[in-house]
Amino acid sequence: MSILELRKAGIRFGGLRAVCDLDLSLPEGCLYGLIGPNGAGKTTVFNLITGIYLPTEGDILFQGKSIVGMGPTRIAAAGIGRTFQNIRLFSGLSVLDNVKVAFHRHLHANLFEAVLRAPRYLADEARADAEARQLLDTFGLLPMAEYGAESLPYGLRRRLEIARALATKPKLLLLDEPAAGMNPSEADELMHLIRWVRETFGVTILLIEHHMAVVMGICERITVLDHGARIAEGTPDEIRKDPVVIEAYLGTDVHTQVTA
Amino acid sequence: MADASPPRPAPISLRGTLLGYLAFAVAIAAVWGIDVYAVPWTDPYLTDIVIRIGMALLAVMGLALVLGFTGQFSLGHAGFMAVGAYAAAMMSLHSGLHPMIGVLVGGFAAAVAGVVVGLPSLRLTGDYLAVVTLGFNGIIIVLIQNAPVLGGAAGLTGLPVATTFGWTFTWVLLGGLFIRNLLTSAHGRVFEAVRDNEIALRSLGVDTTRAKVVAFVVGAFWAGIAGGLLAHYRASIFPSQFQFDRSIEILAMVVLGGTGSLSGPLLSAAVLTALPEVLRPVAEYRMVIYSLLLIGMMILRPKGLLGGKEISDFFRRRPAAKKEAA
Repeated sequence: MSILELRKAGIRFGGLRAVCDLDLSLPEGCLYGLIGPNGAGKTTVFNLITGIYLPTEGDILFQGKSIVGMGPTRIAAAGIGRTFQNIRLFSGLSVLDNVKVAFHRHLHANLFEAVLRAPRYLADEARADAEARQLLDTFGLLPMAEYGAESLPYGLRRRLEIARALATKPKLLLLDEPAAGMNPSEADELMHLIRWVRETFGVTILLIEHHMAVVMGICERITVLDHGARIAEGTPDEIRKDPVVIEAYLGTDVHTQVTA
Repeated sequence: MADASPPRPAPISLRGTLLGYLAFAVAIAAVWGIDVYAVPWTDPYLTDIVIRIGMALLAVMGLALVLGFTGQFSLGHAGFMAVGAYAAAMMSLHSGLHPMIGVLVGGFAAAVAGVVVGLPSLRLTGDYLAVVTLGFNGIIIVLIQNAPVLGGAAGLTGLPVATTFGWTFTWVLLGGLFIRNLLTSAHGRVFEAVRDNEIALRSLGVDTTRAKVVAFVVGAFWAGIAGGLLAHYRASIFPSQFQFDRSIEILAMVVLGGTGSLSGPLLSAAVLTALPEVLRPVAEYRMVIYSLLLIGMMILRPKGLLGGKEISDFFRRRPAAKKEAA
């Protein structure tokens, strides 16, 4: 059964069809890639899935149920976590608190119990603290737990953002260009991290990426977007050979130029 | 995962909590000790300044929560003070209960006003709240001016006088503890996360509208308490005490004290309330000095007096880590 399904989903901004007629089906537990040239509509697809945009056409199903119109908060609570292309950490909070915020939904104590430091609140807090530290530990971030999130170097910020998203215990994780701005060795490390996350947390991953080495290296299936429409779908090998994809990335007359 | 993490105490321990309660009880006892043994022998002029500082502290701590920590730009804080003041005054005039019960009722009335104003406007992001609260402040003043039962523009007189040093600072301690504990709790983390990145917070399944409304309503409650105390300070209140310029004054105290700090705005509230009195001997130059001070602050400390820090951060060696206490 597919965990996420887009059925002819699309959105228009006025006259612009940013995404149209998109069919996408993610088998549970897979590592799925979404690629395409700049402006193809990849991040828009993420924003449709996570409820930031409301699709103007089609339907989006998560675990067999439509999530259209639920809004970002409830969609996240239903089990879809995400990271952002431009990293969005809580800059005023410590590394640890960035993760602890993600446990807020599971708080049992009410506001007054929190203010009065009632036993129920203290138990909540101790649990959130322990879970957050454990998660940071598995991501190798525990030594920086008390640092301000802004003080982390770029690569670790990416890591923290992924750890934070996993703290909500999502069933589906959307990663928006996690390798952006990374050199080949960092990207390679990230590839291992993503694979490890899928194995350790048993989560389905949908990945947007420009780094072809990363996409081709870890994704089991790939969908290629161009101008908001799907132009190809298949395994990395099929995608690599697909003439339509090559055309979209490199232009039509590349072959004639090369041979001439 | 080679070695286990070093054992650490839970961030908020039961022992720390009990010590915190003990310190609070001592502080309350100290306030009433001063009230009984020191205030009667103190220059009434000085007592007056201190009590007015206390009321400013209550108003400012609420806005520090809303603006400084949650990042919501509210321009109508004096409007909530007006709601609290008039609710408390009406209680005291017509119920015969102790005026401090009226003050509490004033706080709840302001909180209800906070829900009414906050619920529709906090669903949106951006500057809507500033416009709505600005309008709310104006509407409240006009409503009071045109309500004969509330005394109209002339105000209400003949209120019982009950705002003593002891009561004022009992409320200040209660409010200070409430807001400090709220900010250092899981809710405080969420408020700051709203300020830093609302979209990311929603992607974690946290209801940001709810968090913003909670912060806003708590802020309104303590402004209402400040208003209730004001109503029982000089036996009379009138609408012009709660106009827009008062909201701006409170806003200036928060911004100058530092957004993202609680003790900074409290310090600046005390300084800015006392300053006009200190400058009384050079009264002609008062506004000049006041303006120069504001301009100097903007140039030298653009993030406010303390920035995002607390006074206690300057007494501890560990840099910039989050405060963890009861």
